[in-house]
Amino acid sequence: MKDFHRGLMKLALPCCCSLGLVVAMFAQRPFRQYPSVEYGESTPLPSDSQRPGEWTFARLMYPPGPNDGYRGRFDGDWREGMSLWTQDGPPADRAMAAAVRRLTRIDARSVEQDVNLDDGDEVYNWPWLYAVQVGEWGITQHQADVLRDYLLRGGFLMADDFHGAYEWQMFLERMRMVFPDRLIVDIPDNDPIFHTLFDLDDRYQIPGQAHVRRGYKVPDYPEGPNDGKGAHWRAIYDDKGRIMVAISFNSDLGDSWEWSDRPSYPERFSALGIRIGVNYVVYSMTH
Amino acid sequence: MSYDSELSSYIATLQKRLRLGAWLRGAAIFAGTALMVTVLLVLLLNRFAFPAHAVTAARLAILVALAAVAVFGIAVPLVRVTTDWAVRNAEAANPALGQRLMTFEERVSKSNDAFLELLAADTLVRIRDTQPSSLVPDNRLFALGGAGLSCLAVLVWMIAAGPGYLGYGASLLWTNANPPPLYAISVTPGDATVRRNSDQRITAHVTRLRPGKAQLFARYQSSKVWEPASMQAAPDSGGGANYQFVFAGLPENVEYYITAGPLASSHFKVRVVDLPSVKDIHVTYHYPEWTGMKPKAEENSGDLRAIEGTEAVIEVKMDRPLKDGQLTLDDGHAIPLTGGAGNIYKGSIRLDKDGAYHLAEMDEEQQVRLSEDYFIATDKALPPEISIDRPGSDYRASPIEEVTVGVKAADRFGLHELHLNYSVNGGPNRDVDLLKTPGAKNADGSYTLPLEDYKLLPGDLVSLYATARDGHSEARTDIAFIQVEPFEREFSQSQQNGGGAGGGGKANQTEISKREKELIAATWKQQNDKTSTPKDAAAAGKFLSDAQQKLRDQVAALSIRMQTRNISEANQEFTDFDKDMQNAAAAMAPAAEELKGMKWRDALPLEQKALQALLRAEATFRKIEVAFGRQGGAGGSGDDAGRDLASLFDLELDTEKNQYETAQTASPAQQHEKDVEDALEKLDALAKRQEDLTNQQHNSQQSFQERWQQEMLRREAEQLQRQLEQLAESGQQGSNGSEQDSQRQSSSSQNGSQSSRQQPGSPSSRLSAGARGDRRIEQALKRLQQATDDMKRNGNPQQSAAGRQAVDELRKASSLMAGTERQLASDKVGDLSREADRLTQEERSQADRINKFAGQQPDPHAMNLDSMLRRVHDRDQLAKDRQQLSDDLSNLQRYVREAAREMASVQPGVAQKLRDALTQMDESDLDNRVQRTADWLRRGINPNANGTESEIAQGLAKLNQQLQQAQQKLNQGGPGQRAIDKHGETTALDQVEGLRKQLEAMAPSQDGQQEQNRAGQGGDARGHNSDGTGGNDTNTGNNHYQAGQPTGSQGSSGNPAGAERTFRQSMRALNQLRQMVEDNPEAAKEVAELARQMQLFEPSRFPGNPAMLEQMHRQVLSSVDKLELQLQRDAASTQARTGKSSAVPSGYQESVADYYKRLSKNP
Repeated sequence: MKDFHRGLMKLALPCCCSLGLVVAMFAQRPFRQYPSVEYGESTPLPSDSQRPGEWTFARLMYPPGPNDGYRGRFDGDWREGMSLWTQDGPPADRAMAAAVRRLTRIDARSVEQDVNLDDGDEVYNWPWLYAVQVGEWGITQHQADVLRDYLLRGGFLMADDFHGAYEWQMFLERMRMVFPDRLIVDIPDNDPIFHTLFDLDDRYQIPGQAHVRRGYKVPDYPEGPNDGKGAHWRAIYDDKGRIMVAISFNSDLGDSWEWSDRPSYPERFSALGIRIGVNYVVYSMTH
Repeated sequence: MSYDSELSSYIATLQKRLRLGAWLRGAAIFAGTALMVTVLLVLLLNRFAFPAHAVTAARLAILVALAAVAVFGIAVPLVRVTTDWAVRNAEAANPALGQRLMTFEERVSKSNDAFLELLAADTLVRIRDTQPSSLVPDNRLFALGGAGLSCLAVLVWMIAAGPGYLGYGASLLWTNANPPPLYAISVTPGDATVRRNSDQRITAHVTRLRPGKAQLFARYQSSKVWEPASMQAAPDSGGGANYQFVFAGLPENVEYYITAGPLASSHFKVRVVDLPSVKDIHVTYHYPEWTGMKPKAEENSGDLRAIEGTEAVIEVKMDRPLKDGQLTLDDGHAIPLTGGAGNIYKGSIRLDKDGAYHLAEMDEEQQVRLSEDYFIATDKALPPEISIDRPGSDYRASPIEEVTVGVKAADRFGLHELHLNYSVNGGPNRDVDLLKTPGAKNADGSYTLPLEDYKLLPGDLVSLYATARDGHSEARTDIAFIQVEPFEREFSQSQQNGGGAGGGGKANQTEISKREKELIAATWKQQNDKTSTPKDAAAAGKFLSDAQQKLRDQVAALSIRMQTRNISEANQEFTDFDKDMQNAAAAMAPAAEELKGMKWRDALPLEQKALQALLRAEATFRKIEVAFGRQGGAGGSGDDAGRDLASLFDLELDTEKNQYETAQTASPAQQHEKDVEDALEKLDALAKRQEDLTNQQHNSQQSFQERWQQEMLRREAEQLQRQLEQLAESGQQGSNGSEQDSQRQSSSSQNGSQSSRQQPGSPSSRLSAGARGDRRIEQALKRLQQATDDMKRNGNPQQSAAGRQAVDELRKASSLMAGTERQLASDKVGDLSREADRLTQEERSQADRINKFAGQQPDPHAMNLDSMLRRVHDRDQLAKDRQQLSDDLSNLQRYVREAAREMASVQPGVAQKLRDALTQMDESDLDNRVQRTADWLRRGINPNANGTESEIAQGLAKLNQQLQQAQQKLNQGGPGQRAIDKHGETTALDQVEGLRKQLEAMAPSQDGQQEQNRAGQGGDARGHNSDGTGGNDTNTGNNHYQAGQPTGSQGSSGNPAGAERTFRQSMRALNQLRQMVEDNPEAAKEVAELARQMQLFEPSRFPGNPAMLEQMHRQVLSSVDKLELQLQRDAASTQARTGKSSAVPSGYQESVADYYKRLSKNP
């Protein structure tokens, strides 16, 4: 009798585990490639796009804000792609995933996952989230609530590609909907996030592909001659001193990934962009 | 139904109900009695440890009790429940019946009275209030039934699964099972047969009981009286007790039994017989054939020591004929003895492992021991030692160089083969025989490789290894490489100008080939690993395959990214580089597959091919650097390509990857220090035990007990020897690593890197310090080997001085290891002092630069944007350098604090100096001043203006001076300071002083806490200062987060591991002190008393009672005071009399003891 019980337990454990795995897999939304503002629907899929990985590049889908730069050009339903949030994608996402796979021991999925905060608990399946053009975003209060909960539960958001004081204000406005009372601070040089995999003591401004010659992007509404100049690596910390939101202000890391294999884009920008991105990923997976 | 029938039915029901009540009550009483009696009897029996006869009586008692209950509790009440009784009960319960029911009952059986019907009707009306259930309520029935069942259940549970003695007793009383006794006394050997007049040890082990004493009752054959004798208690690790007794020189048969508390054992007999005794043992060793050694004979030696595989033929000469003699091994295996002519018997034992044996005879199917144990010590058949001593690993040669490869080999039994194998560019293996004299025990050979003949190009390589074989096994060296480099040296200004991010001055292009070389070395090792299990091999194969695959991905990515960025077509060098990278990736892919399939031999040529391609690519890369790097990043598409290639390389092979890729819990240097300390401690303990043993040994012939102790000591010494070998090896590797690091650093500084800073006292610098101690470790190892040999000889009667020699060798080894420990400390302080010196000079240089900068007043007329930007840039650079100085100073402060803590117990004087330096730093506010000047510089304020800079210079100079003093203090003692000066009271006094400080450091009071608090406050204070400056300055974020970081200054007193370590060091100091005062009986007595108290004070035995701990600590310190007083008195008196104490010649004590012993034997 005892043997029977033991045998039953032995059988039950793997069954439960398998069931859990299957449930977890089906709980995640399947991969879907959205048309992007830069590449339309023409991006070919890599051969191993169906292979799951330990980590996936998740891109935040959000509605455009009042200063949406694509207003008038892409005014369709943001939930179907072809909107501000698809900027640089999918090549940037896939180049970053490939770098993570190659430069670390993390088995990264080759394709991205676009995540809508209105989509139930979907965001909780993706511990690392990337948001582009956050100076022009327009997340709703509900989305901000979900994002806050996600971040407080251990999620990580990388906010990228916004420049100048005006876009900073726009970003801040929406970020205050997420965290009304948390400060945004400069990340100190000795923070583990800059030393988790690569030692990144020397961090310079990473311009977008269109602004390489000048070295920085002149904002659409500049406030002074130097607005948009100088890299700022900022963050929002949780109560235990861990970064929840990493903010690359006045830099365009997305472009540094997207253009990493183009001769026209200086390699040193890509090299730093990839290093910072990889450190953010490893940090988020280990802290 | 008629009324009378109805009433009759009522009466019957009433009777049944009453009967049921009686039944249930009886059953409850029965079950309760059974339970109660059982418990009582078990408690009673337990007091007498469940004797067999009492158990029977108890069973009988239970039976009687239950029978009585059955009769009086069940049968009698049931019989009593008659119809009349039931009716009377009903009448009593309901007086309103007025005897009607009784009248009816009496008359119903006698006549057919017509009035009965009327009476019945009338009675029926009145009995409505007297229903059977009201006489015996349901509740009572349930209660009785429940009580009975509960008692029964408890009883059954006790019998079936009751815990402890209750369950055991219940089971014993109620079941027929024969469980193993709960309390037992097992006697060893029980019945035995021994030789007349020999000793027989009787051991009794009492299970689950701890009686105060045990007695043995013996009755000799010639006597009728049982003589009692108390047995001696022996330690027992289990829950019982052990006792022993020795029948000394048994003259006749004896019967005995043992009592312990309530237990008594069975009776046993020791039979005494007249048996032959051993007169002489003669051993002939027949060594394995492959050793080529001739058989060797040894007289008068029962112990066997030879190489594994040796056949030892043992000839035993007895004083009379032996019947059924045998050699009994410690694993129980018996080897029969043959022969008998001249009372000489033969047997042989094959030496495969360490063990023991003794001679025995079978007498009436009982084995009778004829000798004590003899030891079997088996030496491992080690493979030959071989090394390539020239030209060293990873030699770089020009394509036309003639490289001489030197090989050295040694083997205890003679070399049969010595070969050098080499392969050019992973081609066929070429074999060169280097052995000149077959059978030589030491051999060396050399072979010159004419590289020019092989038509090699830069980047090509020759892999080589050497093999040596004796008659038994083969040994191989690790694989080494000769790498072909361009004939002319090519230098570049800076490969990093405008190149990758994050790192600076890293020669990463060599990292990729280095990784491939590591893979080859690991594959080679795996191929030659004969001890690897299939599971381990599969794991290693997977690991190596993954690593190879990852490297391939990186190489392939590099090539692809070059192509996509159009770098590969920039010119011929780039094209060649790309092609070589592709070739490397192409070779790595199948290599990874072969590694996965554990086909090491097939993987190696592919790996070498990949390495060759990588080396060629690296050679090309150097050309590219030279061609494009000189322009320092200024313009030109070719230059861009060169920079991009460097950046690509840098990203793929960034060596700054840290803990998440290469996890390490403790730094190698820290581990090395700990290992040295452990080894030293063990050596001290071994030396002391060996000395005690040698002192105990009063004559040349060791007793069995002494031989056993000697053998155990020898085995421990061998174990320590292996540990030291590993320590020496790890030190060697650390040394190589640090050399490589320093080479890399020097090459990086050549390449234009500004920084060549090394963290003082940090792991990397300490590693080199550890390496410097290796020679001493090797010398200590040799001494230990010598001591082990002496220990082996110590059993030999002809080698009576061997024990003393072993002690001397162990002491010397201990002294050498102490020197190593000291060397490590010295190097650490040296590093700190050098760093302070560097910082002083750096500050001076910065002050000059600041003055110069401040002196260059901008010309208002020539003011333009460029010059302004240049000036801002210069200012920022100055601020950056000053910030670096501030960071370095903070690091130095941390390392000094760590060093002071670590040395507090070993080098109190030096630790004090270091603490003084820290205090001085705090007092002069040096750290904050430097940080403040960096902030000022950032805001354009000249720190020289208000005198701060000169104060910083003074503070740094003072710090430098104090650290130098600390180093000098450490060096004053010299390498032999820890060596034992047996006759110097002053040294002993110093030792006592050191011991006192260590003990004071172990104080269980709040000192440690205070120190921790102080450290914490210091950290806080610094944090506040940082905040304060941060509030005014631009550098806000950094300071804010630094404040929250731990300072790393854990108080040593608050750390249990630290207390344990201090305790061990104190014990070691005490042992040394014991040596120093061994000729001073009074001081020796004080030391012995102190040692006893110290044992009580051991941290692992702390009872958790602070008051008691405090008291013990005071006692120990008081003993130290007494000892100090004694030594001071002796020192004073010695100086007054002769100035030097009289030395007792070596061996004097032994001679005196021997003299008195002989005197007592010859009245």
